[in-house]
Amino acid sequence: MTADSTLNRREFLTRCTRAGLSVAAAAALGIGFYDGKGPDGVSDTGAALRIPDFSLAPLQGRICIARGTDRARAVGQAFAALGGMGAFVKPGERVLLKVNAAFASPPSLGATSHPDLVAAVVRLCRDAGASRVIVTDNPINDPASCFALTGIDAAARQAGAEVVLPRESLFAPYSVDGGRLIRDWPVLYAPLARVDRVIGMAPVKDHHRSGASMTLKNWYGLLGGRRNIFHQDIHTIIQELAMMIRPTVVVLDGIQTMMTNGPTGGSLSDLKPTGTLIVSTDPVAADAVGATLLGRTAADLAFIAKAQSIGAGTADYRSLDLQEIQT
Amino acid sequence: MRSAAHEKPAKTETRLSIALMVILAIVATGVFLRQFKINPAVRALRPEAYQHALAPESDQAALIDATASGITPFSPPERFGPDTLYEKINGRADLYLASGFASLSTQRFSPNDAAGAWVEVFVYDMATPANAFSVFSMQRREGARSDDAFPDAYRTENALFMTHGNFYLEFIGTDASPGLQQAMGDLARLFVASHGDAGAGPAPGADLFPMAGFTPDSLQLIAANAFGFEQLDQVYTAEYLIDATPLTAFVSPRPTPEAASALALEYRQTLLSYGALVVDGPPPVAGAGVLKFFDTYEIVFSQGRYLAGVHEAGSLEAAAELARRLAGHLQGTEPKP
Repeated sequence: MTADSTLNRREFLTRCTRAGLSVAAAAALGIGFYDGKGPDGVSDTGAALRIPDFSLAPLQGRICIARGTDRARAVGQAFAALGGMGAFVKPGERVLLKVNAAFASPPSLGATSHPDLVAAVVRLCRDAGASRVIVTDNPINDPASCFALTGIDAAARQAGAEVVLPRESLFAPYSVDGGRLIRDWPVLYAPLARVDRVIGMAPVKDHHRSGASMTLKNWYGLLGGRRNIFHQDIHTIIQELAMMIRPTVVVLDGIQTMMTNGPTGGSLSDLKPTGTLIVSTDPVAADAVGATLLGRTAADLAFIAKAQSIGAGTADYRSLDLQEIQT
Repeated sequence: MRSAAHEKPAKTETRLSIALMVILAIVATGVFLRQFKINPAVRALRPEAYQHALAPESDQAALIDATASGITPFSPPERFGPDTLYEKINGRADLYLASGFASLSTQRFSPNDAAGAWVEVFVYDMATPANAFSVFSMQRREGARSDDAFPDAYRTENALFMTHGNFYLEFIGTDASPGLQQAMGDLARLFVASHGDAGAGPAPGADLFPMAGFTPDSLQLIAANAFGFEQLDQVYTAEYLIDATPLTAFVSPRPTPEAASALALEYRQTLLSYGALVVDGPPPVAGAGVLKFFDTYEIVFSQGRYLAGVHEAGSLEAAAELARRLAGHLQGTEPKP
């Protein structure tokens, strides 16, 4: 040990002071960057995102109940009764069809939108002059398998639509104004942002949790992430979805109805021919009609009353401009 | 340049060093604890939430070895646990989860001569035979025909449903063709052969009910929230036809006679709180409560370790007769452990 190796008191205190200042500076930086509310996982653009209102005011309150067995004919005549697809889609407009492609099951089992119906609506849109028709959904199963095995992919493409499979870049965190559940939640936003009109398409199905899966429940497919956590409060999430999406028109397929073991079914015996297809600008009214196909009433399904309460439509479909046709 | 390498640190320096280490430890602890409190929306935005293909385990062997039967897998096997079951069956997952679900394996198979048609096999491991029977019975299709090749099985036009030990199995065909029906049977036999003898005894709970008036294949096991009453779980029900009146009998084995008696009382009190009215007159079974609930009758009693009764009967006389038969049948028996 030498004299040079000895720290004197002054130098020791100087070093300690420097070390202390460094620690204090690091701590200050940490406090400065600390987010007391915790990470919300959203970019600052999230709050600015808005899904447009796709409804058309002059067409509010229109509903057509078409009876028949041929989906293409029924939907064509139902739209014709409501003024034709041209009343809903103008030349040059871009249209999104939100189908139900939730399961990788064949169309015969009725768990998903029927490809014949998807193709028919795509053609109606194209004939009305739509510049683009996009078909999409966010199944929980592998999306490519779901779209392929349901027959929706091939039917949509052959009819002139683009099929958009969900991928990460298409989602954005979204909050519903006044919503409690859909807060900074990933929503399949990009396709919605690129279109002028939105058409919801769903089959009528029994649903183990919500009682029924129809046009209002169908918007669930726009959510990403582990959305099953909302099953605990399913009627409220459907209500918030009704707040989030105001469609141009909805098509509810009750040509066959999945009466039991929904929403997946699995047996042809779960299905019942009910020969009804509903086209409406009021999704609440459409679902109220669909409930009757399941042998239930609108009052049996809490989400219908909840959707009505926020102004998404009326369960009293007979109070609307109702047309009933035989196809 | 001076160095203090070999000099013993001063006490102050040691204390400062210890203080710094403590601060670092506190920061590390804070970071460690904080990582467990991520906003659910953050999880939902993580890339893996979108990678639907991650869950399937595509490099596994086929779910059923059907090599020699002319049936070929045409999709990889997939496997789902309690956290991911919803990814396959969505809102139906609750039924399985409430019944003790352990895992689900699925795969699609196609007969070599069936172009464009397939059978999807669902193998639910329900942990116990009773759990397997519960989901099997709760989803039984009306009008289905029994399949005599298996103890607990039935077929519909396009599907075969069965239990085997802890497993509940579904074989779902894309159509109602005889070829697919044949393939379903072949796949079921291969599965049974490779998963041991599960026995051919009666369905769980079958011995709890008298046979007179019993409607075949109507036995069900409701695992949870039976009749909308949260405390009622593990309730067996059976359908009867007595004097042309359809009736539902129920039996639930409880841990002790006291527990059965207490639950019977609690159920009756709940019905009364919802507006049920006590029916005057001697009960058909000693100690039974007879209630009128809107336009139906409910008879509830306990006998030994059994809670039992008749649910939503349209006729008081027929319900009373069934309650007497049920009590007589249960008398002197004890639930299996």
